[in-house]
Amino acid sequence: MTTYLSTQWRLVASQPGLFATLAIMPLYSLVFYTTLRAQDRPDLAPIVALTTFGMSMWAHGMFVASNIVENDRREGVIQQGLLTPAAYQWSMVIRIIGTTALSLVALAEVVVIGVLLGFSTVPESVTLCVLVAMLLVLGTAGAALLVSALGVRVQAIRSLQNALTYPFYLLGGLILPADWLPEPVHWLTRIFFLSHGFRLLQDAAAGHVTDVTSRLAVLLLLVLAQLLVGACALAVVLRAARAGRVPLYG
Amino acid sequence: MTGTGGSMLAVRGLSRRFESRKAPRLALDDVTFDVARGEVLGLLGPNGAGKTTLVRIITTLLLPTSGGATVAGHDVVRDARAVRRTVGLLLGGERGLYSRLTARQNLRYWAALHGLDTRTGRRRVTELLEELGLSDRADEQVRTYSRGMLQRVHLARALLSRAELLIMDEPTNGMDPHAAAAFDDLVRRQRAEGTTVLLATHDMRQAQSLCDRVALIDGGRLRAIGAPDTLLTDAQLLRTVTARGFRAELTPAVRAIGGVLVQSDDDSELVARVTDGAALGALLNALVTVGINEISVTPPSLTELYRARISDRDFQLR
Repeated sequence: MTTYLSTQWRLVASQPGLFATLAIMPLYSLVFYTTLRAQDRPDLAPIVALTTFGMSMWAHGMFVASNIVENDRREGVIQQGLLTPAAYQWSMVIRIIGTTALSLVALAEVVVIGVLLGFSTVPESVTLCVLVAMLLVLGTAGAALLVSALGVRVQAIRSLQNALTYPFYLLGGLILPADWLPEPVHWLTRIFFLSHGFRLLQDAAAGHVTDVTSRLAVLLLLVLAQLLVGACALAVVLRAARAGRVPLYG
Repeated sequence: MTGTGGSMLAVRGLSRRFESRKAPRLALDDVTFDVARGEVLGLLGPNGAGKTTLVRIITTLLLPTSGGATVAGHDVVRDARAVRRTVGLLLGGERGLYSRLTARQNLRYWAALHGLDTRTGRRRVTELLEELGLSDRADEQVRTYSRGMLQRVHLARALLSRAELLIMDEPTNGMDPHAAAAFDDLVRRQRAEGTTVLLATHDMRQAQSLCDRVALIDGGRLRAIGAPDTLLTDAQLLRTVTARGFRAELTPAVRAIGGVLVQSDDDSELVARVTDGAALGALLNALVTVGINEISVTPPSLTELYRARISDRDFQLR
Protein backbone atom coordinates (compact mmCIF):
# COMPACT_ATOMS: atom_id res chain seq x y z
CA MET A 1 0.00 0.00 0.00
CA THR A 2 2.84 2.40 0.80
CA THR A 3 4.30 1.70 -2.65
CA TYR A 4 1.01 2.65 -4.29
CA LEU A 5 0.79 5.83 -2.22
CA SER A 6 4.40 6.82 -2.83
CA THR A 7 3.98 6.15 -6.55
CA GLN A 8 0.91 8.37 -6.67
CA TRP A 9 2.57 11.08 -4.65
CA ARG A 10 5.49 11.13 -7.09
CA LEU A 11 3.12 11.30 -10.04
CA VAL A 12 1.20 14.20 -8.53
CA ALA A 13 4.32 15.98 -7.30
CA SER A 14 5.85 15.81 -10.78
CA GLN A 15 2.99 17.99 -12.07
CA PRO A 16 2.67 21.03 -9.79
CA GLY A 17 -0.33 22.19 -11.81
CA LEU A 18 -2.35 19.46 -10.14
CA PHE A 19 -2.15 21.39 -6.88
CA ALA A 20 -3.87 24.38 -8.45
CA THR A 21 -7.26 23.64 -6.91
CA LEU A 22 -5.80 23.23 -3.45
CA ALA A 23 -3.66 26.33 -3.85
CA ILE A 24 -6.35 28.60 -5.23
CA MET A 25 -9.42 27.60 -3.24
CA PRO A 26 -8.08 28.72 0.16
CA LEU A 27 -7.47 32.11 -1.43
CA TYR A 28 -11.23 32.33 -1.77
CA SER A 29 -11.38 32.17 2.01
CA LEU A 30 -9.48 35.46 2.12
CA VAL A 31 -12.22 37.05 0.02
CA PHE A 32 -14.94 35.53 2.19
CA TYR A 33 -13.23 36.50 5.47
CA THR A 34 -12.75 40.05 4.21
CA THR A 35 -16.43 40.22 3.33
CA LEU A 36 -17.38 38.95 6.78
CA ARG A 37 -15.24 41.62 8.37
CA ALA A 38 -16.77 44.31 6.19
CA GLN A 39 -20.26 43.10 7.12
CA ASP A 40 -19.29 42.63 10.77
CA ARG A 41 -20.37 38.95 10.81
CA PRO A 42 -17.45 37.10 12.48
CA ASP A 43 -19.93 34.46 13.65
CA LEU A 44 -20.06 33.10 10.09
CA ALA A 45 -16.28 32.49 9.90
CA PRO A 46 -16.40 28.76 10.80
CA ILE A 47 -19.01 28.16 8.10
CA VAL A 48 -16.88 30.01 5.57
CA ALA A 49 -13.86 27.92 6.53
CA LEU A 50 -15.75 24.65 6.18
CA THR A 51 -17.40 25.68 2.93
CA THR A 52 -14.05 26.54 1.43
CA PHE A 53 -12.62 23.23 2.57
CA GLY A 54 -15.63 21.31 1.19
CA MET A 55 -15.38 23.01 -2.19
CA SER A 56 -11.61 22.43 -2.35
CA MET A 57 -12.01 18.77 -1.46
CA TRP A 58 -14.76 18.12 -3.98
CA ALA A 59 -13.08 20.08 -6.80
CA HIS A 60 -9.77 18.33 -6.15
CA GLY A 61 -11.56 14.97 -6.24
CA MET A 62 -13.37 15.74 -9.48
CA PHE A 63 -10.51 17.40 -11.34
CA VAL A 64 -7.42 15.61 -10.09
CA ALA A 65 -8.26 12.28 -8.44
CA SER A 66 -10.84 11.40 -11.05
CA ASN A 67 -8.24 11.77 -13.79
CA ILE A 68 -5.98 9.05 -12.45
CA VAL A 69 -7.50 6.19 -14.45
CA GLU A 70 -7.67 8.32 -17.59
CA ASN A 71 -4.01 9.27 -17.13
CA ASP A 72 -3.12 5.60 -16.83
CA ARG A 73 -5.01 4.95 -20.04
CA ARG A 74 -3.16 7.77 -21.80
CA GLU A 75 0.16 6.36 -20.63
CA GLY A 76 -0.85 2.93 -21.92
CA VAL A 77 -0.52 1.48 -18.43
CA ILE A 78 -4.01 -0.02 -18.08
CA GLN A 79 -3.19 -2.88 -20.42
CA GLN A 80 -0.32 -3.98 -18.20
CA GLY A 81 -2.51 -3.40 -15.18
CA LEU A 82 -4.95 -5.97 -16.50
CA LEU A 83 -2.27 -8.59 -15.96
CA THR A 84 -2.75 -8.04 -12.23
CA PRO A 85 -6.35 -6.80 -12.26
CA ALA A 86 -7.19 -7.23 -8.58
CA ALA A 87 -3.97 -5.62 -7.43
CA TYR A 88 -4.26 -2.92 -10.07
CA GLN A 89 -7.80 -2.08 -9.04
CA TRP A 90 -6.80 -1.99 -5.40
CA SER A 91 -3.87 0.27 -6.26
CA MET A 92 -6.28 2.59 -8.07
CA VAL A 93 -8.55 2.81 -5.03
CA ILE A 94 -5.58 3.56 -2.79
CA ARG A 95 -4.11 6.08 -5.20
CA ILE A 96 -7.40 7.93 -5.63
CA ILE A 97 -8.02 8.01 -1.87
CA GLY A 98 -4.45 9.20 -1.32
CA THR A 99 -4.82 11.98 -3.86
CA THR A 100 -8.17 13.10 -2.48
CA ALA A 101 -6.73 13.07 1.04
CA LEU A 102 -4.34 15.83 0.02
CA SER A 103 -7.35 18.13 0.26
CA LEU A 104 -7.24 17.78 4.07
CA VAL A 105 -4.42 20.29 3.83
CA ALA A 106 -7.02 22.82 2.67
CA LEU A 107 -8.93 22.36 5.93
CA ALA A 108 -5.87 23.24 7.94
CA GLU A 109 -5.13 26.15 5.61
CA VAL A 110 -8.54 27.83 5.92
CA VAL A 111 -8.63 27.39 9.68
CA VAL A 112 -5.15 28.88 10.07
CA ILE A 113 -5.90 31.76 7.68
CA GLY A 114 -9.03 32.50 9.68
CA VAL A 115 -7.14 32.50 12.96
CA LEU A 116 -4.44 34.73 11.49
CA LEU A 117 -7.16 37.19 10.44
CA GLY A 118 -8.53 37.19 13.95
CA PHE A 119 -11.55 34.95 13.44
CA SER A 120 -12.59 32.11 15.66
CA THR A 121 -12.29 29.28 13.14
CA VAL A 122 -10.84 26.53 15.34
CA PRO A 123 -13.62 23.90 15.65
CA GLU A 124 -15.16 23.29 19.06
CA SER A 125 -14.76 19.54 18.58
CA VAL A 126 -11.49 19.12 16.72
CA THR A 127 -11.40 15.32 16.90
CA LEU A 128 -14.91 14.89 15.57
CA CYS A 129 -14.26 17.44 12.84
CA VAL A 130 -11.13 15.65 11.69
CA LEU A 131 -12.93 12.29 11.78
CA VAL A 132 -15.83 13.61 9.71
CA ALA A 133 -13.46 15.36 7.31
CA MET A 134 -11.61 12.06 6.79
CA LEU A 135 -14.88 10.27 6.08
CA LEU A 136 -15.81 13.02 3.63
CA VAL A 137 -12.47 12.53 1.89
CA LEU A 138 -13.21 8.81 1.57
CA GLY A 139 -16.66 9.51 0.14
CA THR A 140 -15.27 12.06 -2.30
CA ALA A 141 -12.66 9.50 -3.36
CA GLY A 142 -15.53 7.08 -4.02
CA ALA A 143 -17.21 9.69 -6.21
CA ALA A 144 -13.89 10.32 -7.98
CA LEU A 145 -13.55 6.57 -8.60
CA LEU A 146 -17.00 6.54 -10.18
CA VAL A 147 -16.26 9.56 -12.38
CA SER A 148 -12.87 8.08 -13.18
CA ALA A 149 -14.39 4.82 -14.40
CA LEU A 150 -17.18 6.55 -16.30
CA GLY A 151 -14.60 8.82 -17.90
CA VAL A 152 -12.79 5.87 -19.45
CA ARG A 153 -16.01 4.18 -20.55
CA VAL A 154 -17.93 7.26 -21.68
CA GLN A 155 -15.58 9.86 -23.11
CA ALA A 156 -18.34 12.50 -23.13
CA ILE A 157 -18.22 12.74 -19.34
CA ARG A 158 -14.89 14.55 -19.59
CA SER A 159 -16.59 17.45 -21.30
CA LEU A 160 -19.17 17.49 -18.48
CA GLN A 161 -16.54 17.50 -15.76
CA ASN A 162 -17.03 21.20 -15.01
CA ALA A 163 -20.68 20.49 -14.38
CA LEU A 164 -19.72 18.12 -11.59
CA THR A 165 -18.93 20.89 -9.14
CA TYR A 166 -21.63 23.50 -8.43
CA PRO A 167 -24.65 21.17 -8.58
CA PHE A 168 -22.90 18.99 -6.00
CA TYR A 169 -21.90 21.97 -3.85
CA LEU A 170 -25.62 22.73 -3.69
CA LEU A 171 -26.65 19.13 -3.18
CA GLY A 172 -24.03 18.71 -0.47
CA GLY A 173 -25.22 21.79 1.36
CA LEU A 174 -21.91 23.57 0.95
CA ILE A 175 -23.33 26.81 -0.41
CA LEU A 176 -26.85 26.76 1.02
CA PRO A 177 -28.39 24.54 3.66
CA ALA A 178 -29.55 21.39 1.86
CA ASP A 179 -33.01 21.92 3.41
CA TRP A 180 -33.42 25.05 1.30
CA LEU A 181 -33.33 23.01 -1.91
CA PRO A 182 -36.63 22.28 -3.67
CA GLU A 183 -38.68 19.46 -2.22
CA PRO A 184 -38.21 17.07 -5.21
CA VAL A 185 -34.46 16.84 -4.59
CA HIS A 186 -34.65 16.32 -0.84
CA TRP A 187 -34.45 12.55 -1.22
CA LEU A 188 -31.15 13.01 -3.09
CA THR A 189 -29.66 15.00 -0.24
CA ARG A 190 -30.73 12.29 2.19
CA ILE A 191 -28.71 9.61 0.37
CA PHE A 192 -25.78 11.84 -0.54
CA PHE A 193 -22.88 11.38 1.88
CA LEU A 194 -21.68 14.96 1.37
CA SER A 195 -24.87 16.59 2.65
CA HIS A 196 -24.95 14.31 5.72
CA GLY A 197 -21.28 14.73 6.40
CA PHE A 198 -21.16 18.45 5.83
CA ARG A 199 -24.05 19.07 8.21
CA LEU A 200 -22.30 16.96 10.83
CA LEU A 201 -19.05 18.82 10.18
CA GLN A 202 -20.74 22.18 10.69
CA ASP A 203 -22.39 20.97 13.90
CA ALA A 204 -19.10 19.56 15.20
CA ALA A 205 -17.36 22.85 14.44
CA ALA A 206 -20.07 24.74 16.31
CA GLY A 207 -19.86 22.30 19.21
CA HIS A 208 -23.51 21.31 19.37
CA VAL A 209 -23.85 17.80 17.97
CA THR A 210 -26.62 15.46 18.96
CA ASP A 211 -26.83 11.74 18.14
CA VAL A 212 -23.14 11.61 17.24
CA THR A 213 -22.97 7.83 17.06
CA SER A 214 -26.00 7.32 14.86
CA ARG A 215 -25.07 10.21 12.55
CA LEU A 216 -21.51 8.93 12.23
CA ALA A 217 -22.86 5.45 11.49
CA VAL A 218 -25.13 6.76 8.74
CA LEU A 219 -22.28 8.79 7.27
CA LEU A 220 -19.98 5.78 7.38
CA LEU A 221 -22.56 3.65 5.58
CA LEU A 222 -23.12 6.26 2.88
CA VAL A 223 -19.36 6.72 2.41
CA LEU A 224 -18.79 2.97 2.15
CA ALA A 225 -21.65 2.69 -0.34
CA GLN A 226 -20.12 5.48 -2.43
CA LEU A 227 -16.72 3.77 -2.35
CA LEU A 228 -18.31 0.46 -3.29
CA VAL A 229 -20.17 1.99 -6.23
CA GLY A 230 -16.95 3.62 -7.44
CA ALA A 231 -14.89 0.44 -7.08
CA CYS A 232 -17.57 -1.61 -8.86
CA ALA A 233 -17.68 0.88 -11.72
CA LEU A 234 -13.92 0.58 -12.09
CA ALA A 235 -14.16 -3.22 -12.05
CA VAL A 236 -16.78 -3.06 -14.82
CA VAL A 237 -14.52 -0.84 -16.92
CA LEU A 238 -11.54 -3.15 -16.46
CA ARG A 239 -13.69 -6.15 -17.44
CA ALA A 240 -14.91 -4.26 -20.52
CA ALA A 241 -11.30 -3.51 -21.42
CA ARG A 242 -10.50 -7.20 -21.23
CA ALA A 243 -13.45 -7.98 -23.48
CA GLY A 244 -12.04 -5.51 -26.01
CA ARG A 245 -14.88 -3.01 -25.61
CA VAL A 246 -12.77 -0.21 -24.17
CA PRO A 247 -9.81 1.27 -26.04
CA LEU A 248 -6.77 0.84 -23.86
CA TYR A 249 -4.95 3.84 -25.25
CA GLY A 250 -6.04 7.44 -25.20
CA MET B 1 -10.39 -27.08 -21.79
CA THR B 2 -7.46 -28.86 -20.21
CA GLY B 3 -3.81 -28.57 -21.04
CA THR B 4 -1.65 -31.14 -22.74
CA GLY B 5 0.59 -33.09 -20.38
CA GLY B 6 4.03 -31.77 -21.36
CA SER B 7 2.98 -28.52 -22.89
CA MET B 8 3.23 -25.15 -21.20
CA LEU B 9 0.89 -23.56 -23.69
CA ALA B 10 -1.91 -25.23 -25.62
CA VAL B 11 -3.95 -23.21 -28.10
CA ARG B 12 -7.01 -24.88 -29.60
CA GLY B 13 -9.20 -23.54 -32.40
CA LEU B 14 -8.68 -20.00 -31.19
CA SER B 15 -10.61 -17.28 -32.99
CA ARG B 16 -11.18 -13.63 -32.23
CA ARG B 17 -13.53 -11.37 -34.12
CA PHE B 18 -13.59 -7.60 -33.61
CA GLU B 19 -16.94 -6.02 -34.30
CA SER B 20 -16.99 -2.63 -35.92
CA ARG B 21 -19.52 -0.37 -37.60
CA LYS B 22 -17.87 -0.75 -41.00
CA ALA B 23 -17.23 -4.49 -41.04
CA PRO B 24 -16.32 -7.13 -38.50
CA ARG B 25 -12.67 -8.17 -38.61
CA LEU B 26 -11.48 -11.70 -37.95
CA ALA B 27 -8.14 -11.12 -36.26
CA LEU B 28 -7.56 -14.79 -35.40
CA ASP B 29 -9.07 -17.69 -37.27
CA ASP B 30 -9.03 -21.21 -35.80
CA VAL B 31 -5.44 -21.21 -34.54
CA THR B 32 -4.13 -24.39 -32.92
CA PHE B 33 -0.63 -25.17 -31.61
CA ASP B 34 1.32 -26.25 -28.53
CA VAL B 35 4.46 -24.96 -26.88
CA ALA B 36 6.44 -27.42 -24.76
CA ARG B 37 7.92 -26.50 -21.39
CA GLY B 38 11.32 -24.86 -21.83
CA GLU B 39 10.77 -24.29 -25.54
CA VAL B 40 11.33 -20.99 -27.37
CA LEU B 41 8.66 -20.48 -30.03
CA GLY B 42 8.90 -17.61 -32.49
CA LEU B 43 5.74 -15.99 -33.82
CA LEU B 44 6.39 -14.50 -37.23
CA GLY B 45 4.01 -12.58 -39.40
CA PRO B 46 3.35 -9.19 -40.95
CA ASN B 47 1.76 -6.24 -39.15
CA GLY B 48 -1.90 -6.99 -38.53
CA ALA B 49 -1.37 -10.74 -38.87
CA GLY B 50 -2.92 -11.45 -35.47
CA LYS B 51 0.22 -11.95 -33.38
CA THR B 52 -0.60 -9.29 -30.79
CA THR B 53 -4.21 -10.46 -30.56
CA LEU B 54 -2.95 -13.98 -29.90
CA VAL B 55 -0.53 -12.71 -27.26
CA ARG B 56 -3.26 -10.68 -25.55
CA ILE B 57 -5.61 -13.66 -25.39
CA ILE B 58 -2.94 -15.98 -24.00
CA THR B 59 -2.12 -13.42 -21.32
CA THR B 60 -5.84 -13.00 -20.42
CA LEU B 61 -5.88 -9.36 -21.57
CA LEU B 62 -8.50 -10.17 -24.18
CA LEU B 63 -11.26 -12.74 -24.36
CA PRO B 64 -11.45 -15.10 -27.34
CA THR B 65 -14.57 -15.25 -29.51
CA SER B 66 -14.29 -19.03 -29.77
CA GLY B 67 -11.81 -21.77 -29.03
CA GLY B 68 -9.46 -21.50 -26.10
CA ALA B 69 -6.02 -21.79 -24.64
CA THR B 70 -4.39 -23.12 -21.52
CA VAL B 71 -1.21 -22.02 -19.82
CA ALA B 72 0.36 -24.65 -17.57
CA GLY B 73 -3.03 -26.36 -17.66
CA HIS B 74 -4.96 -23.24 -16.60
CA ASP B 75 -7.71 -22.01 -18.90
CA VAL B 76 -7.12 -18.42 -20.00
CA VAL B 77 -10.81 -17.56 -19.57
CA ARG B 78 -12.01 -19.60 -16.60
CA ASP B 79 -8.79 -19.63 -14.60
CA ALA B 80 -7.36 -16.29 -15.61
CA ARG B 81 -5.93 -15.56 -12.18
CA ALA B 82 -3.72 -18.66 -12.23
CA VAL B 83 -2.65 -17.88 -15.79
CA ARG B 84 -1.58 -14.37 -14.82
CA ARG B 85 0.61 -15.77 -12.06
CA THR B 86 2.36 -17.91 -14.64
CA VAL B 87 3.08 -15.43 -17.43
CA GLY B 88 5.38 -12.46 -17.82
CA LEU B 89 4.52 -10.10 -20.64
CA LEU B 90 6.60 -7.64 -22.61
CA LEU B 91 4.50 -5.55 -24.95
CA GLY B 92 7.14 -2.94 -25.60
CA GLY B 93 6.68 0.34 -27.39
CA GLU B 94 7.02 3.83 -26.07
CA ARG B 95 4.01 3.59 -23.76
CA GLY B 96 3.00 1.41 -20.87
CA LEU B 97 5.20 3.07 -18.26
CA TYR B 98 4.71 6.16 -16.12
CA SER B 99 6.77 8.59 -18.14
CA ARG B 100 7.29 10.98 -15.20
CA LEU B 101 8.63 8.27 -12.91
CA THR B 102 12.10 6.79 -13.00
CA ALA B 103 12.77 3.25 -14.15
CA ARG B 104 13.32 2.20 -10.54
CA GLN B 105 10.07 3.81 -9.36
CA ASN B 106 8.12 2.26 -12.24
CA LEU B 107 9.51 -1.19 -11.55
CA ARG B 108 8.89 -0.94 -7.79
CA TYR B 109 5.26 -0.11 -8.47
CA TRP B 110 4.90 -3.09 -10.79
CA ALA B 111 6.71 -5.32 -8.34
CA ALA B 112 4.09 -4.37 -5.75
CA LEU B 113 1.30 -5.12 -8.21
CA HIS B 114 2.85 -8.54 -8.82
CA GLY B 115 2.62 -9.21 -5.11
CA LEU B 116 6.31 -8.88 -4.20
CA ASP B 117 6.75 -7.47 -0.72
CA THR B 118 8.66 -4.20 -0.45
CA ARG B 119 12.04 -5.70 0.46
CA THR B 120 11.89 -8.48 -2.15
CA GLY B 121 10.62 -6.03 -4.76
CA ARG B 122 13.47 -3.60 -4.14
CA ARG B 123 16.06 -6.37 -4.33
CA ARG B 124 14.57 -7.83 -7.51
CA VAL B 125 14.34 -4.41 -9.16
CA THR B 126 17.99 -3.66 -8.35
CA GLU B 127 19.05 -7.06 -9.75
CA LEU B 128 17.16 -6.52 -12.99
CA LEU B 129 18.36 -2.93 -13.45
CA GLU B 130 21.90 -4.25 -13.08
CA GLU B 131 21.35 -7.22 -15.37
CA LEU B 132 19.81 -5.07 -18.10
CA GLY B 133 22.45 -2.34 -17.91
CA LEU B 134 20.09 0.32 -16.61
CA SER B 135 21.67 0.97 -13.22
CA ASP B 136 23.42 4.18 -14.26
CA ARG B 137 20.20 5.84 -15.38
CA ALA B 138 17.76 3.99 -13.15
CA ASP B 139 16.88 7.16 -11.28
CA GLU B 140 16.05 9.30 -14.29
CA GLN B 141 12.52 9.78 -15.57
CA VAL B 142 11.78 7.24 -18.29
CA ARG B 143 10.49 9.99 -20.59
CA THR B 144 14.16 10.88 -21.13
CA TYR B 145 14.97 7.33 -22.27
CA SER B 146 15.62 6.20 -25.81
CA ARG B 147 13.33 3.59 -27.33
CA GLY B 148 15.90 0.87 -26.74
CA MET B 149 16.20 1.77 -23.06
CA LEU B 150 12.43 1.79 -22.70
CA GLN B 151 12.41 -1.71 -24.15
CA ARG B 152 14.82 -2.78 -21.44
CA VAL B 153 12.53 -1.38 -18.75
CA HIS B 154 9.63 -3.27 -20.32
CA LEU B 155 11.79 -6.37 -20.31
CA ALA B 156 12.70 -5.86 -16.65
CA ARG B 157 9.01 -5.64 -15.80
CA ALA B 158 8.29 -8.88 -17.65
CA LEU B 159 11.03 -10.59 -15.65
CA LEU B 160 9.96 -9.25 -12.24
CA SER B 161 7.81 -12.19 -11.22
CA ARG B 162 10.10 -14.96 -12.53
CA ALA B 163 7.32 -16.18 -14.80
CA GLU B 164 7.23 -19.73 -16.16
CA LEU B 165 6.04 -18.46 -19.53
CA LEU B 166 7.60 -15.30 -20.94
CA ILE B 167 5.68 -13.69 -23.76
CA MET B 168 7.48 -10.98 -25.66
CA ASP B 169 6.14 -8.86 -28.49
CA GLU B 170 8.92 -7.22 -30.52
CA PRO B 171 11.35 -7.24 -27.58
CA THR B 172 14.38 -5.84 -29.39
CA ASN B 173 12.53 -3.14 -31.27
CA GLY B 174 14.71 -0.03 -31.02
CA MET B 175 17.64 -1.77 -29.34
CA ASP B 176 21.14 -1.24 -30.70
CA PRO B 177 23.00 -4.37 -31.96
CA HIS B 178 24.92 -4.86 -28.71
CA ALA B 179 21.76 -4.62 -26.62
CA ALA B 180 19.96 -6.96 -29.03
CA ALA B 181 22.78 -9.50 -28.71
CA ALA B 182 22.61 -9.18 -24.92
CA PHE B 183 18.88 -9.80 -25.16
CA ASP B 184 19.53 -12.99 -27.13
CA ASP B 185 21.87 -14.15 -24.36
CA LEU B 186 19.24 -13.35 -21.78
CA VAL B 187 16.66 -15.46 -23.60
CA ARG B 188 19.11 -18.34 -23.79
CA ARG B 189 19.72 -18.06 -20.05
CA GLN B 190 15.98 -18.04 -19.41
CA ARG B 191 15.57 -21.15 -21.53
CA ALA B 192 18.46 -22.83 -19.71
CA GLU B 193 16.59 -22.14 -16.46
CA GLY B 194 13.52 -23.87 -17.88
CA THR B 195 11.47 -20.81 -18.81
CA THR B 196 9.20 -21.17 -21.82
CA VAL B 197 9.38 -18.24 -24.24
CA LEU B 198 6.90 -17.06 -26.84
CA LEU B 199 8.62 -14.48 -29.01
CA ALA B 200 6.68 -12.39 -31.53
CA THR B 201 9.21 -10.72 -33.78
CA HIS B 202 9.97 -9.36 -37.23
CA ASP B 203 13.66 -10.04 -36.70
CA MET B 204 14.31 -13.20 -38.72
CA ARG B 205 17.93 -13.43 -37.61
CA GLN B 206 16.82 -13.42 -34.02
CA ALA B 207 14.08 -15.96 -34.67
CA GLN B 208 16.45 -18.30 -36.49
CA SER B 209 19.14 -18.11 -33.83
CA LEU B 210 16.91 -18.24 -30.74
CA CYS B 211 13.84 -20.26 -31.53
CA ASP B 212 13.44 -24.00 -31.27
CA ARG B 213 10.40 -23.65 -33.53
CA VAL B 214 8.72 -20.82 -35.39
CA ALA B 215 5.09 -20.28 -36.30
CA LEU B 216 4.14 -18.24 -39.34
CA ILE B 217 0.89 -16.33 -38.94
CA ASP B 218 -0.86 -14.37 -41.65
CA GLY B 219 -4.40 -13.15 -42.00
CA GLY B 220 -5.17 -14.51 -38.53
CA ARG B 221 -4.32 -18.07 -39.59
CA LEU B 222 -1.40 -20.29 -38.73
CA ARG B 223 0.39 -20.88 -42.05
CA ALA B 224 3.25 -23.07 -40.85
CA ILE B 225 4.89 -24.21 -37.62
CA GLY B 226 8.04 -26.19 -37.00
CA ALA B 227 11.77 -26.06 -36.38
CA PRO B 228 13.43 -23.52 -38.69
CA ASP B 229 15.62 -26.18 -40.34
CA THR B 230 12.65 -28.49 -40.92
CA LEU B 231 10.53 -25.71 -42.36
CA LEU B 232 13.35 -24.66 -44.65
CA THR B 233 13.92 -28.21 -45.83
CA ASP B 234 10.21 -28.80 -46.36
CA ALA B 235 9.87 -25.55 -48.26
CA GLN B 236 12.59 -26.71 -50.71
CA LEU B 237 13.99 -23.22 -50.90
CA LEU B 238 16.97 -22.63 -53.13
CA ARG B 239 20.52 -22.36 -51.89
CA THR B 240 22.62 -19.51 -53.23
CA VAL B 241 26.08 -20.04 -54.71
CA THR B 242 28.43 -17.07 -54.99
CA ALA B 243 31.71 -17.48 -56.91
CA ARG B 244 34.39 -14.79 -56.94
CA GLY B 245 36.87 -14.52 -59.84
CA PHE B 246 34.19 -15.61 -62.28
CA ARG B 247 34.57 -14.84 -65.97
CA ALA B 248 31.58 -13.91 -68.11
CA GLU B 249 32.54 -16.27 -70.93
CA LEU B 250 31.81 -19.18 -68.56
CA THR B 251 28.15 -18.22 -68.18
CA PRO B 252 26.76 -20.38 -71.02
CA ALA B 253 28.38 -23.47 -69.53
CA VAL B 254 26.90 -22.70 -66.12
CA ARG B 255 23.46 -22.06 -67.57
CA ALA B 256 23.63 -25.45 -69.26
CA ILE B 257 23.71 -27.26 -65.89
CA GLY B 258 20.24 -28.48 -64.99
CA GLY B 259 18.79 -26.99 -61.80
CA VAL B 260 21.03 -23.92 -61.81
CA LEU B 261 19.43 -20.48 -62.07
CA VAL B 262 21.91 -17.69 -62.75
CA GLN B 263 20.89 -14.55 -60.94
CA SER B 264 23.75 -12.30 -61.94
CA ASP B 265 27.11 -12.68 -63.60
CA ASP B 266 29.89 -10.36 -64.55
CA ASP B 267 33.61 -10.49 -64.93
CA SER B 268 34.19 -10.80 -61.21
CA GLU B 269 31.29 -12.63 -59.59
CA LEU B 270 28.59 -15.18 -60.26
CA VAL B 271 25.45 -15.45 -58.14
CA ALA B 272 23.33 -18.49 -58.90
CA ARG B 273 20.65 -20.48 -57.10
CA VAL B 274 20.48 -24.25 -57.13
CA THR B 275 17.36 -26.36 -56.81
CA ASP B 276 18.90 -29.53 -55.34
CA GLY B 277 22.06 -31.30 -54.23
CA ALA B 278 22.82 -32.72 -57.68
CA ALA B 279 22.71 -29.29 -59.27
CA LEU B 280 24.90 -27.93 -56.48
CA GLY B 281 27.46 -30.70 -56.99
CA ALA B 282 27.53 -30.17 -60.74
CA LEU B 283 27.96 -26.41 -60.40
CA LEU B 284 30.73 -26.67 -57.80
CA ASN B 285 32.52 -29.23 -59.94
CA ALA B 286 32.30 -27.00 -63.01
CA LEU B 287 33.61 -23.97 -61.13
CA VAL B 288 36.52 -25.79 -59.51
CA THR B 289 37.45 -27.37 -62.84
CA VAL B 290 38.01 -23.91 -64.38
CA GLY B 291 40.11 -22.84 -61.43
CA ILE B 292 37.59 -20.86 -59.39
CA ASN B 293 38.12 -21.64 -55.72
CA GLU B 294 36.54 -18.72 -53.88
CA ILE B 295 33.03 -20.07 -53.62
CA SER B 296 30.39 -19.67 -50.93
CA VAL B 297 27.16 -21.60 -50.57
CA THR B 298 24.43 -19.88 -48.53
CA PRO B 299 21.57 -21.98 -47.23
CA PRO B 300 18.09 -20.49 -47.41
CA SER B 301 17.12 -18.34 -44.42
CA LEU B 302 13.94 -17.70 -42.50
CA THR B 303 13.65 -14.42 -44.37
CA GLU B 304 13.32 -16.35 -47.64
CA LEU B 305 10.89 -18.77 -46.06
CA TYR B 306 8.87 -15.85 -44.73
CA ARG B 307 8.79 -14.18 -48.11
CA ALA B 308 7.82 -17.45 -49.75
CA ARG B 309 4.99 -18.24 -47.34
CA ILE B 310 3.61 -14.81 -46.51
CA SER B 311 2.11 -12.97 -49.42
CA ASP B 312 3.85 -9.71 -50.35
CA ARG B 313 1.65 -6.69 -49.80
CA ASP B 314 4.25 -3.93 -49.61
CA PHE B 315 2.93 -1.39 -47.09
CA GLN B 316 -0.64 -2.65 -47.19
CA LEU B 317 -2.23 -4.04 -44.07
CA ARG B 318 -4.50 -6.99 -44.40
